[in-house]
Amino acid sequence: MEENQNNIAVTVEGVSMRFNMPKEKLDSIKEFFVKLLKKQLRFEEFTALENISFTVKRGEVVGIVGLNGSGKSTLLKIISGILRPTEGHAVTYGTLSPLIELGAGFDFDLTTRENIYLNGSVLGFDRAFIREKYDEILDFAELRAFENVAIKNFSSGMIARLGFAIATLVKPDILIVDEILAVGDFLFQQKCEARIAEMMAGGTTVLIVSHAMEQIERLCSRVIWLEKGHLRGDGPTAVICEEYKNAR
Amino acid sequence: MKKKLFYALAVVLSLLSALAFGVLIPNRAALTNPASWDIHIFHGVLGLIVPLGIFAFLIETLFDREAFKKDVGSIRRYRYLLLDLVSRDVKTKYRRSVLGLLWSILNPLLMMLVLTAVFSNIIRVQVEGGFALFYLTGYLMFTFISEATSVSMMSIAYAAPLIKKVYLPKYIFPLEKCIFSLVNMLFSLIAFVIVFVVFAAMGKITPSFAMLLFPLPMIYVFLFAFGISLILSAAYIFFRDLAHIYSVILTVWMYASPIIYPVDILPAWLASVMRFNPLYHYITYFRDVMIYGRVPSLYENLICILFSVLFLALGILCFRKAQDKFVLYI
Ligand SMILES: Nc1ncnc2c1ncn2[C@@H]1O[C@H](COP(=O)(O)OP(=O)(O)OP(=O)(O)O)[C@@H](O)[C@H]1O
Ligand SMILES: [Mg+2]
Repeated sequence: MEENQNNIAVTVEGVSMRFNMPKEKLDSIKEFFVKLLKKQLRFEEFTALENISFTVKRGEVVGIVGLNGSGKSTLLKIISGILRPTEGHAVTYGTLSPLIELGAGFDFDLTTRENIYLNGSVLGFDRAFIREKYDEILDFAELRAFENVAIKNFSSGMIARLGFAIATLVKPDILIVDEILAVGDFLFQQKCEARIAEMMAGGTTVLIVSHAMEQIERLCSRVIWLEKGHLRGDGPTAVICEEYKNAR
Repeated sequence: MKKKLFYALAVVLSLLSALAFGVLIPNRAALTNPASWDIHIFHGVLGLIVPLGIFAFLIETLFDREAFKKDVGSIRRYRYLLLDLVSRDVKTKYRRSVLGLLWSILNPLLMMLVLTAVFSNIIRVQVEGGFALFYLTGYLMFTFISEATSVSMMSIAYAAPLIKKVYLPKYIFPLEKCIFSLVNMLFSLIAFVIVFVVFAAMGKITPSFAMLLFPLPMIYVFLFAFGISLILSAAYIFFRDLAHIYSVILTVWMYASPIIYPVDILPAWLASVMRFNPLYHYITYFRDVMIYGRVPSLYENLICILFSVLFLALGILCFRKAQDKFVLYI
């Protein structure tokens, strides 16, 4: 068992995610009881993921593809612990950096400097560590000139850069990337990819969601294909990508 | 299956403890405190619900060790976040308005002046040591609890953008609000110090070493408020009406606590009911230490601790049950 875990980075076992979507939003108890009495309280159960199982080995780079709403982001959120699945479980072995929504906890009234510290603590980094890496972050994000500017005046690309620079400070055992490479100009995209490639070379396991097939084909050795919450395919990049492209 | 067995055992043990505390202990306490039927009931109820709460907490923890480990392990990792959030709240409160700090001191002082004028001259309530300090101590305790709990109640809902984006231990948000309220209380304590110094200079009151015990009631009341906050912040996600209901509860609670009146003006039956109000014990403890220079007995400490531990256990229990569903409702 122990032996086995040593080369496994992520296990997803029988994961199902169902969302209870009330037909209308009920915000008060009164409304709730009125609806309950009138038997109008309807929930629409929506299955975003159905019985998904797979394991990812240490050092693998796995792409996840699928059409909009097929459950890719939901799956990544379950793996990174933001959501708890309705059934089954997902286990990760090692440290985890989820790049799902960059800049979580950014306060738009605060300056770049203040946000670096705030976002750092949201990600659970040590204060001293952030202080040490402060210049590196500014340089990587190319925001030195905006050090003391409130980030509400930033473009979305600038915010994404800052978020990326902070989130990728440490080399994690497992990196989870959800479509974030789409923002930012091509120069910065290259820089991001270079940083991710550097991590991969260092043995980091990577899970990438992207709609850019070309990117998936370039980076990944294995692809998981989700369709309406079901696992439609799981295998070598060339095979699955071909099937996926032909399906649409 | 096994869980049910544990619960059955817990119920039996709690009943035994209810019996033990309800019948045996008060007779010994009666040496200092004239025992009557009501103290038996109070001890019986406390002897029942405190072990029940603690057992439930222990059993659930035992059966969900992973969640427990995750929560405890994250305290250290996210301590800077806690610190950041508190200091951001303190800054927005005290830095943005120049008078921020001043108001924290002036508010209780003004309230005290008005109420002292009314109660000691018009209604003529007689309190040992004068009405001003008597009121101020009660006011500080109650304001802390009401502020901490009602601000905490919304904390999870307000943190929605964060909770949806990254994994965070969610108890951080109510905890942060409770710490922030504690900081506010410490600032307001300056008002007490000012009045105390004036009274001491006038020779109306003498400082005592018992005052050094003041952190104790504050720790008790903090744990208690944190427990309540955990329950409220979790419940608020599912019932937004709670905000309105709770503000009514707070008003009732304020008048049901000996803040503007001493307990001895109450009829005997009301005084017995008062025992079930945790705030009564905290306020009395605080006054004993701060005004009357009395060192509270082991018994009084125990009552305060039991209430704190009970509500903390219940709070953690409810919160942990609910926390995985937060993301789906905010
Ligand atoms: N909190 C939620 N409540 C209700 N339904 C949700 C929730 N989160 C996601 N869903 C539903 O789950 C389904 C899958 O969503 P998800 O975001 O995982 O898709 P995706 O594969 O990432 O799509 P995209 O390619 O557009 O990013 C969607 O139909 C969405 O409506
Ligand atoms: Mg998505």
